[in-house]
Amino acid sequence: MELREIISTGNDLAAIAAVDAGCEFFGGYPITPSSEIMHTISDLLPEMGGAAIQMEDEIAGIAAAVGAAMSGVRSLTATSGPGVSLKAENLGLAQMTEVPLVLVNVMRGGPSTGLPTRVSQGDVRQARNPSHGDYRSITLCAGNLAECYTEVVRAFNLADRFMQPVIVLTDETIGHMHGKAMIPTLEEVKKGIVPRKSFDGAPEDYRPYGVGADEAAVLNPMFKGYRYHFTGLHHDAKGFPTEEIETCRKLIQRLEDKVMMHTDEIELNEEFMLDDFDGSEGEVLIVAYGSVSLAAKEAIRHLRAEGIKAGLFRPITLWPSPAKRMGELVKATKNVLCVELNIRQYTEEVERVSGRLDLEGLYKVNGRAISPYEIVNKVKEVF
Amino acid sequence: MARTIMRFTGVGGQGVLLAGEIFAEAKITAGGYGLKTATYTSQVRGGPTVVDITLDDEEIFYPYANDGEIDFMLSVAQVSFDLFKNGVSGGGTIVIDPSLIKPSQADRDKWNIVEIPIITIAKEEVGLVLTQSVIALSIANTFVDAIEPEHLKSVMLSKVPKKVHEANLKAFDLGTKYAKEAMEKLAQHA
Repeated sequence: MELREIISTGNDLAAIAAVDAGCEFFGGYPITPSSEIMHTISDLLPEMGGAAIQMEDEIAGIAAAVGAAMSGVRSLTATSGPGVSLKAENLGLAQMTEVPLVLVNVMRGGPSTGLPTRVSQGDVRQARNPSHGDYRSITLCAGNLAECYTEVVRAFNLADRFMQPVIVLTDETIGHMHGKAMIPTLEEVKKGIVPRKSFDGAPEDYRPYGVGADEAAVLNPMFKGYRYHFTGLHHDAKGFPTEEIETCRKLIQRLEDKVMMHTDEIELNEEFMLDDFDGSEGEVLIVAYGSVSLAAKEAIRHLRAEGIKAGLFRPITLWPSPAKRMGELVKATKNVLCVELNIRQYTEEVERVSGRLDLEGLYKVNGRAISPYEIVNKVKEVF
Repeated sequence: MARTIMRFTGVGGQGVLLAGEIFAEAKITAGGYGLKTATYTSQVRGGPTVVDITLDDEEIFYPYANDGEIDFMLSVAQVSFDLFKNGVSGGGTIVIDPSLIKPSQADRDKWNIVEIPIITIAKEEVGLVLTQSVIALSIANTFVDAIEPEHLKSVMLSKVPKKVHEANLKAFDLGTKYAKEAMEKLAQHA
C-alpha cells in the first residue's frame, strides 16, 4: 500500500481521516480531550461542501449526526467518556434503526467527569454496551498515531457494511501526542470505500429491514422517493412498529447475527515479537491495546535485551473480541500479563476466551500513563 | 544519535507547547523520529504544564519521558519546576528564569542549574512576550545540540504567523546568544 507522511496529533489525524473517508457531516459538542477533532473538522468540512455543527449539548450532537446519516451521508461525532454516557440513548436508536455512524471516543479518566485532561482506558466496557438491549457493538482501538487515521477510515467502511454505529476508541495520550504518522494516500483510501447498499427497485417493493437472517438493513437515503419508517420500537420490514412475536425475535437475532456471523470482516490484531514463540518455558505474552501498547513495545525491547522472550498481542478491534486467536495464544503461553489503564476491563474478556483465571495483570487508574519500566518490573516480579 | 529527551515546563497559557511541536517536526523532517506530549491540568490558565520531547534516529514508541532519563529541562514557573525537576537525570541541565524560580542549594548540587531571564528577554529585548517559547527553543537546542540550527529555524518560521517572523527570528538568535554565554560561563567554572 502506498503511504504518505503526516506530522500531526491523533485528534487531527482522526478528523482528517473522516474527511478523507468521505464524511460529510459532523455533529458534536466540545469536550476535553477530544475537542480538537471538532475544531479541525469544522475547518475541513465546509471547504469540501460538508457541514460541521456544534450543537447545544452532547445529546443533540449525536442526534444531528444520526439524522445526517439517515439522509444518506457519512456522519461523525466525537467525544469523551462523559459524552458517550449522554449519547448512549441515541447510540441505541442507531443500533435499532441500523443507521451507520462513527463515534470517536478520546478516553479520559472516569467515572462521571473524572479526570478531564488525563489518560485512561476506562471506557472499554462501556463501548461494548453503551445502551441497553441486545446488539453487538463494533469497537476499534487506535494504538498509535497512524491508526487514529486508519481506524477512523475503517470505522466508516464497517459502519456502512454493517449498518450500525462503530466506535473508535483513542485516549488522551494518543489524541494529543504530536509526531510522525505513515498513513495511506488519499487514492488508497478512496479505493477502499464501499458505499452502503441501496435498493433501486420499485418504491412499493422496498423493504429496508426485510433482509436475510444475517444481513444488515438496506437503507436508502431519506427524501429520495423511497418511503419507510424509523423507530426505536421493534419494527417490521418497512420499519413500522410491531409486537408480532416472530418478527420481534428475528429482528433482534439478526442484529446479533449480522455482526457475529461475520467477525472475520471486523477482526484486526497486531502480533509484535511473537514470531519466535513456540510454547517454551519463560516466554512472556503481554496483552495490551491502545496507547498502553506503546509502553508495552518499549518494555519488550528492554526485556528482549535482557534475554527475556517477551511479545505483545494487541487487539485493534476490541469488540467483538478476537476470541479465537487471542484464546489460542493465551492458552499456549504460560506467562500472560494483561496491561490496562483501567481495572481488568479487557482482562475479563481475555479470561473468557482462554478459559484461564490465572492471568497476571498490571492496572492503573490515576490518570497517568503506565511506563515501560513499570511493565518490565512487573514481568520480573511475577514470572 | 542516542535518544534525546527534553522537558519544558511552565503554567498553562505560557505557550510551552509550541516549542515541543517545532522540535518534533524538525527532527522528523530531518529524517528521524520525534514525539511531543503535553500533560496539563483541568485549569485553563495557571495549572502546571509539562511538555516532553523525545528525539531519536530509531522509532520511538512510548511518548513520555521516564523519570531520571531527561537530559535537559527548561522551566518558567516555580510550581512546575518543583513538580517536574526530579525527572531530570543527576548532573543534567535545567535552565530556569531566575525572576520566576528560586532553586534550593540541594537543587544546585544535584543539577546543572543555568539562569537565563527568558521572560525579560522576550519582553524587553524582543518586545513581544509571546516569543518566549522560541527563545526557550533555541536555548534548549544550543544545549542539547539535537537539530541543525538553520533547519530548526526554518521549521519554527513555518509554525508562527508571518507578521511575527521578524520578532521570532530575533528571539531565536537571542536564545542562542544567551545559551552560548551561559555555556561559556559553565566551562570556566568547570
